[in-house]
This record gives sequence, structure tokens and C-alpha cells, in this order.
Amino acid sequence: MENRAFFVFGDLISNAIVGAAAAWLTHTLIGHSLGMFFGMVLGMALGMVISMVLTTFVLSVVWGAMEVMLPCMVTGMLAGMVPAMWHSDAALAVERGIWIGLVVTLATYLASAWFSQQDEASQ
Amino acid sequence: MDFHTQKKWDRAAGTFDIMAGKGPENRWRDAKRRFFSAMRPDSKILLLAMGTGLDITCFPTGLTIQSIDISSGMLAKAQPRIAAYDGTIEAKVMDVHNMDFEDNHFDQVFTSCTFCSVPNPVEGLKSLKRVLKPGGELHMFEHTGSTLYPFSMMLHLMTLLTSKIGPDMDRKTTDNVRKAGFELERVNNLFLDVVKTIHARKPA
Repeated sequence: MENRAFFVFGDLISNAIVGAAAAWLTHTLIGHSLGMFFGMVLGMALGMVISMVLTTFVLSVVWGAMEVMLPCMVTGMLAGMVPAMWHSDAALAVERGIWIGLVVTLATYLASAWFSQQDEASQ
Repeated sequence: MDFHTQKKWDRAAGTFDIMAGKGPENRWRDAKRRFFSAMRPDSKILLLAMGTGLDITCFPTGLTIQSIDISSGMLAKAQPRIAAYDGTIEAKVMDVHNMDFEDNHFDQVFTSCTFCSVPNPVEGLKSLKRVLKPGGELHMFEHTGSTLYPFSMMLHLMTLLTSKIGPDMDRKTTDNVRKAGFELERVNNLFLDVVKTIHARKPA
């Protein structure tokens, strides 16, 4: 599991930025007027596009490839879904997006720690 | 020679160091140093896909290494790093599917983020097996697909885009090593089950 402060900070800040950006843009561009299902699908897609752009051209260049891209895409997907599904103001949407980013980072660290104990050669 | 793949990587050579040279390499540097520390001075070593030579700073010093890459553009970028290495690196433009090395020639083969890009990975691995001596070692530092949802879905989606300009993100490289007839010895996951080192051996 990653324990170097620069990269731990990078993972947290990357996911927080992606979460906030995806939530704010979904809130602004889509809102919650489409209904839960279409909101969810469109918000998810928009969040993933935003996360791909931010990670590919900015965040990965500084903090790493897979370790940044994968959790940030999950963060973007979830943070895009939430404001499109449930009514909120912009500040609350952004706050939720940041929290989603931090939770996804933690979950990724736990999953990564579990996988590091596995050896596929013996499976 | 696979000219489609060659052209793709020649195009990527211009921006490769900007995209991969800072964050990704800094993040993986310690793990790569440990990985390449398996290179032995008494071995005939092949490094597959030198790229722009970003890995060279992770090599132990004083070795003689043969290296190939399908892209002349990548190797041109690698030249200053090859020249600065405290040892000998011979780099040639060559396709892994058509290598002109003799059978049973090398003691060790190393790959680093290579089999995300080889068009026919099992055939490519069989080529490596051909040039390895019986009992020879295959060491791979690779990113692969994942077994864990939603990361597996993300990697499939990313591959739709990235395969046009660079690597596939959803390869089953560990399975491919088995399919090519290697004896798998050890797989160490470095990030999720996506970034990993694979250590295998050609049957004696």
C-alpha cells in the first residue's frame, strides 16, 4: 500500500478535485430534472468524461498513472451520478463530490492492500 | 514488421516523456529498482521494448543488455539515456514477433509495461520463450486488466480509447504467460491487481 506522503496527498487531492468538479458540472449542466434513471446515466457518463480529461492531462502527469486514473474514474462516475439523481444546491453537490472522492481513495487503498497479499501464481 | 504498431508508437514518441516521464515513473521508481535488481552481470539479458529509456536509471550498473523496440522514434529519444548508462546497452529496432536472435540465446528477459502493447501477446511471449535458454527467466513489470468491479469496467472503457493511440488497459497478461508455456513462479501485485510484477521460467 502506498505510504509516501507526496503520493498519498496526491491521491486524496486528485479524487477530491475530480469529485468536486464532476459534481459541480453535473449539477450545473444536467441538474436533477431528468428523473432518477436518466439523471443517473447522464451524470455517470459526464462524471467519467470529466475525470478522464482531468487525470490524463493534469493529475496523472504529477502523481502517477493507474493509481490516479482508476480511482478518479470511479469517483467521477459516482460524483456525477449523485447530483443528477437527487436535488441539492451547488455547494452541497460539491461537498458530496469531495466526500465521494475521499471514500473511493480509502476503498482503493484497502482493496490494494488486500491484493498485495495475493499471489496469482498459486491460483 | 508490424507497421501499424510501429507507426502508432513513432507518433507517441514525441509526447511519451511528458505523459509518462514524471508522475508514473516517479511513482514506480522504487518498485522498478527492486524489479531490475534481478538483472545479473553473468547473464545474457534481453530488455523488450526500451521505449524512450525511462527505465535505464533503474538498472544496476555495469551490465551488458540487448534491447529492442518496434519504434525507431522511441529509440531515438532513448539514445542520450543509453549513452549515459554506466554499462553497455545495444538497442535495435525489432518486432517481438520476428526477432532475429538465435533460439535458446538469453538467460533473462525483462519487459516493462510492454505487453499492454504487443498486438498478439501470447505469440509475443512464445517468441520470448524461443530466445530464452531452457530454465531461463522471464521478469515482467506490467499493468493489466482487473478482476475487481468497477475497475474492470473502467479499464475496458479506457481501452476503447487508449488502444487507438497507445496501450490496451485490460490485458490478461498473467494468463497469457501461462498460455505461452512458461512456468509461473511468482506474481506480486503492486497496485490493486492491475500493476504487478510477474516472474516465470522457461521449462528446462
